[in-house]
Amino acid sequence: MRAFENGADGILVAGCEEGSCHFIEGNLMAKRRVNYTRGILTEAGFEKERLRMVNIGAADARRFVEIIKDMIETVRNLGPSPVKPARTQKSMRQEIHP
Amino acid sequence: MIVAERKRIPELVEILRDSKKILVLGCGTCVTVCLAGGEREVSIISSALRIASKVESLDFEIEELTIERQCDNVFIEEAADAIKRNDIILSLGCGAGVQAIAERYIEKPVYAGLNTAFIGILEERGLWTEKCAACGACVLHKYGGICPVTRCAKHMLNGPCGGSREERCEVRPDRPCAWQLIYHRLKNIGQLDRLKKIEPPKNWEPSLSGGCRVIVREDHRI
Repeated sequence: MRAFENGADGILVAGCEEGSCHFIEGNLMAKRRVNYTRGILTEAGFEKERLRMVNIGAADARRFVEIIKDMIETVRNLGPSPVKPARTQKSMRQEIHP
Repeated sequence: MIVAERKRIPELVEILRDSKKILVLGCGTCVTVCLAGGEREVSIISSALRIASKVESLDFEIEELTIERQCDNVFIEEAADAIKRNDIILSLGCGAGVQAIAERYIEKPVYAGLNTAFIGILEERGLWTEKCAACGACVLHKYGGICPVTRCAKHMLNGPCGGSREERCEVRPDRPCAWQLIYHRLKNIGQLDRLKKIEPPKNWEPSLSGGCRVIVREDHRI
């Protein structure tokens, strides 16, 4: 929530594969909380698609890359966060080279 | 404990629409335990309100604070500076907490951020159920510690109604029949004979029928 409040365009929460979490059911609890947070974001008028949780095996790099590409595509289609003030080319340059 | 749940963000935005400096004030007692108005919920609701404020081009400036107990003047004092700094207080306390703050700070608008629901317990993780209607004249000793006033959908003092199916309430099939529970409980403690007595109509005078209730302990008054 804080990240979105500060202008994040999208957040991908990556948890362990279901059934193989070191914290037993920690990844499943996290998924429920992410879903709850998506509900609150929707209530606040914010696109819930900007927040996503995935469960993925530690060795499944190919799938991880696909998921990240898909998330980037989703966020790109949605455009900049409505919470973030519009950035100018100049301000973006300053962010990169302060 | 008192059980409450948060109001939805669109309702809060409507309540606060014309406000600027807002204190979101949590309570560290009952509503913390029922995950409605503690420090964590203050943080989540404040974030959501800040996001909604930016999405709707409103002008909310939100401060967050949680005190130990909103229904007690000693603890309310801890919020004095923050209350002074803000125009509006959005209380995430129960109905008693909201009113205690409003009575103490007569010049400040105080709004309720929660819907106070009932007196109950945590039955399972994430599940709270009502156990007490605060009727003012407890009859639990007659029913094996299971309250028919609260837990029977028809509030029957001489039950069962005969409508239950497989030990489930016919009004709320997701809940057990209170009278089935009473029967099992009285059987377990060897007091089934209690069910042979007809209970006269309940005296509702100590309930809400005469306006808000007051308890006076002269031995503690100064």
